[in-house]
Amino acid sequence: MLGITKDIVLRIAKYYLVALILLIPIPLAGDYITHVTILVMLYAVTAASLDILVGYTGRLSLGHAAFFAVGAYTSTLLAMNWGVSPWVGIFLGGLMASVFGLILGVPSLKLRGPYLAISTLGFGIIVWLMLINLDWLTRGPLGIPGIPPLPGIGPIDFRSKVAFYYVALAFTLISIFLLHLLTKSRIGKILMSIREDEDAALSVGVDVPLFKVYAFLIATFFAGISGGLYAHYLRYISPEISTLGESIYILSMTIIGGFGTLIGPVMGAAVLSLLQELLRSYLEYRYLIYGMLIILVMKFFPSGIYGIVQFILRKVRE
Amino acid sequence: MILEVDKVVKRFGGLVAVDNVSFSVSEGEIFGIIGPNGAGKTTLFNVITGFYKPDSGSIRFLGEDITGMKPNKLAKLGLTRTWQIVKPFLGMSVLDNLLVSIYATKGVIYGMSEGEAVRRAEEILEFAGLLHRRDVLAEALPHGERKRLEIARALATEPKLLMLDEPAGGLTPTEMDEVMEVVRKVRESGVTVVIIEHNMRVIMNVCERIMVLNFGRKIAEGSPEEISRNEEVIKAYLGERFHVRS
Repeated sequence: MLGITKDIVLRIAKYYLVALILLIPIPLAGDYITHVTILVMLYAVTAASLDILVGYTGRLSLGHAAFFAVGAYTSTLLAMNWGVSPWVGIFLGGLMASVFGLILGVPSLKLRGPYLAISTLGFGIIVWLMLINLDWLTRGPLGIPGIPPLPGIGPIDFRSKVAFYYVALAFTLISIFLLHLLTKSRIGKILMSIREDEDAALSVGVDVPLFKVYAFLIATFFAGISGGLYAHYLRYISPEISTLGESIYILSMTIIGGFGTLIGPVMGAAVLSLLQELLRSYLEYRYLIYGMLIILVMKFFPSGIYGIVQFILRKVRE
Repeated sequence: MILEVDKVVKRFGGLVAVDNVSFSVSEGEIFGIIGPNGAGKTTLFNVITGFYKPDSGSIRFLGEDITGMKPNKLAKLGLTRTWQIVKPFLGMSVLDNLLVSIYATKGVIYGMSEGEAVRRAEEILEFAGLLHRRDVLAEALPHGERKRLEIARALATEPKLLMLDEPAGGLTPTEMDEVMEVVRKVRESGVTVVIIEHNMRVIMNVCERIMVLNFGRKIAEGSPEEISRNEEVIKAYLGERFHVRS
């Protein structure tokens, strides 16, 4: 189905097994490292999901944080107002993010290049304004504290960082694995053909609008789920998670990591998060630094960190 | 008749790019469209293949009214086209370029089995003389091979009617011969071909019937011999008496 053969699954699964083995002992390094790694993983999924739009379909989005936020608020509100279990709520948050993805994706089908970028930017700002102004629902700029944690299973309490870490690890590996399979599937190739040339894709039978919508649905779903996990992990959310700055932060990960590679954005999430931790005392300069990094990467290493890593690996092998 | 174009009009503002053009193409032939630059050839192509909607008139393909139908629908029915300025999927391998056509027309979720799809794509690559380039990125191909990839990718949709927009444009004489060889083989395999071309040597040698456009209007239609003797065509386009080489 979808042109995914057993060969492809096995070839890719290998890497995820290695990643799993490497990441299992992380909590031994202490709470701080565990905490940072959890955030890196949630951002990694979000940046990888954005890559489906930006890198594979060629649809630049400047509003991806909005979908992360929709997932976070949906799951939070469902849990706090209607007692929906976060295990279910997070999934529903992903679906709600997809609904928002549809609301943005369908009207912007015909837009290309900068026009699409501006419409996604505007959409992100609308969501941010909604979160700030729908006081009765979202408590506005105050944000929502006291979000219930993931309900424990038996003796496992997910308020502990270590326990949550393994939930996040499973979620991250499974999500990125699924996205990875998607890029290797027939859908992945169809999306790439749209990125390369929409008219040519149409002329060989590709239903371009339909697949653009698919790309939006998939990308926003995973961003929404990441947002839900984030909410039940930090147990406090505010409209801050949906700002333009946040969208650009995620886009920076995708671009600096190397868009159109899926794994690049994961690397980008790791590198930028570490950078943010290292530069804690210079936080007001962060966008300046990201901006410069994006320019440098686009100019000298368009394939991003992923490309640099591949280049080094090739040199080492020779 | 595989293609029947009836009184098609396409305007852009005040400009009538295609003015009341009618013609039909019968199954298995190579039909040529010639005319000076700006005569409306490519616009006519865009109207037939669904990229533009005609202002009036109708188009029938295999007896079915396809006026205003979307290009992707038409590709699935068996009508596809190539582009004057080639549009390969540059960042994808040559094989993947063809697989996109196969997935898109045969089905993405189920469709052909993967092995079958790859085998089919390889057959077409061999047919177009590109099999040795199978795993190369399309951006690495020289212009002549890109032109053949363009045709191969269209063939992978398994068209009944293939519309070629200047397949020999911008090529060296050797590359041109290679492309025309492919076009001839396409016809032999039973696909009907409509071709726009500027190169008279190509069009006169390969086409059975030719239509001449000028300022959006059809000014002549007939065999290469008739066209090369038509006074109006000579005045508008050929400039001097053009002799058919056999």
